[in-house]
Amino acid sequence: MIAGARISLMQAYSYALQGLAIGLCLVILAGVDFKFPGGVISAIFIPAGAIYLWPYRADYGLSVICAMVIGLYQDLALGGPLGLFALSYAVLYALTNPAHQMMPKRKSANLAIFVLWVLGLIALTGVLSAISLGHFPNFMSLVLSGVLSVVMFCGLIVIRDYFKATLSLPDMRRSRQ
Amino acid sequence: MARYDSDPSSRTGKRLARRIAPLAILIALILFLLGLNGRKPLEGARKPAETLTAKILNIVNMPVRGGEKLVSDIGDHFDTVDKYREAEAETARLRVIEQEYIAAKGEIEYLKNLFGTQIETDLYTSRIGVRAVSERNGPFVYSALINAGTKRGVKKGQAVLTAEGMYGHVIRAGGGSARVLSIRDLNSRVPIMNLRSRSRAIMQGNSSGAPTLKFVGDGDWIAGDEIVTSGDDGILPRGLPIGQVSGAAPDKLRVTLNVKEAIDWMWVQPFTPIASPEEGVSVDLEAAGPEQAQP
Repeated sequence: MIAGARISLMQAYSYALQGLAIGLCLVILAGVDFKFPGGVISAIFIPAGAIYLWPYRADYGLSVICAMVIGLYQDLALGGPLGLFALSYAVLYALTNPAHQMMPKRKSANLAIFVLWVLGLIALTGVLSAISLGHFPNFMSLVLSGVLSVVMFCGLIVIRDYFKATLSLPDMRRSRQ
Repeated sequence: MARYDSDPSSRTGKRLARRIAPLAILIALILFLLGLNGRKPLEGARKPAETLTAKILNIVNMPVRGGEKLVSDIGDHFDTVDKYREAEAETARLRVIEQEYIAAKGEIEYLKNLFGTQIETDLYTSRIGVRAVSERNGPFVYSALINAGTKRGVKKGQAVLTAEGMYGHVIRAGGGSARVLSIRDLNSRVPIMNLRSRSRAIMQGNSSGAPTLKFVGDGDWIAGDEIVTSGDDGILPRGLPIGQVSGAAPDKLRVTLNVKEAIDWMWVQPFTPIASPEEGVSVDLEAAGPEQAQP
């Protein structure tokens, strides 16, 4: 019943801004490099986790702008080609509209969907960087970054569920019918 | 069912949403297209964004670096004896090099006095110690974000080194941070010199650990030769260690870089390039006055 209640336009905007704030925090997490004996890996696709868990009922138009801003900040702060992630995240949000999708109840199903998202992002950013830089990026490096992003996304889901359970918040995107 | 609490705002909101969403994608597309062909739009926005990110990453990285150090320390604990033997062997090797260095330094001083020349032997005496707060080894770019900027004297073009050798050069310097382009990056071009034969070439990054050598000409190149910066570009100082030549065929010469491990601490090498002769002439003419400047 709560899930079906109507909300004001301002509330819808504020939900979108919540998503933006979480996304910007995750861009910082994407900037952390993890050193392994074989090299350095960063979870460059983890901001997509914020888009996947976008607040339920956020305004669609503002959410696409927010997704673009998250990508733009990632492009500016982490030194990649300009517009690469801005375009990727905006297209990703516009196509999937995650705030209006019901989230699967099983964690494994969420993980599987996010893996598909990451694969889509790998393909999209690969093509865009080929256009921008004139060469395809290192495929292995992209895949490793994707794997790390998926691993971090699992942690993100656990943290989200923990906070929802601790604060007794209803999970709108799971309860909606 | 309407999602908002009043029908008019809902209709307006939905109409607006339909228009804003393609607009956002269009803006992103324009930004992407503006960045093609090496153009650098929003360059001014990158510096504050990087400075802010560097400050936050300085804090966020602490537990990550702490964890890495803990794992490294535990590993070191188990092979202390081996490490001690390695250190002993290294010390013995370095003592010989130290003797050679002292002898060479004496010779250089003698020759400098004899010919009255000024040689840049004080290259490593002034340097800015920095820490890489974020290193990106692909897939799109090979670069690092360092926690020092113009406030500490870091400038665009300056070389950045680790204990092993040259890492790259500063491409953008903000107030409290700077972006360093690795010599591995596809966009990196560094004029280099073979330390043995003095042959010159351009080292071109290829997003791997072994950049290629271009414009080698008829130079004398043998696998294993030490490669240093030639300083021919007037931007980087001469003699910064880079790596060793690998490969045999002139068109397949590569450089095995000294910097192999992930980086953490490094330093920026301040360098004042020599002004081009044209600049010197124009300055002299201005100083001489308008009458004498006329041909």
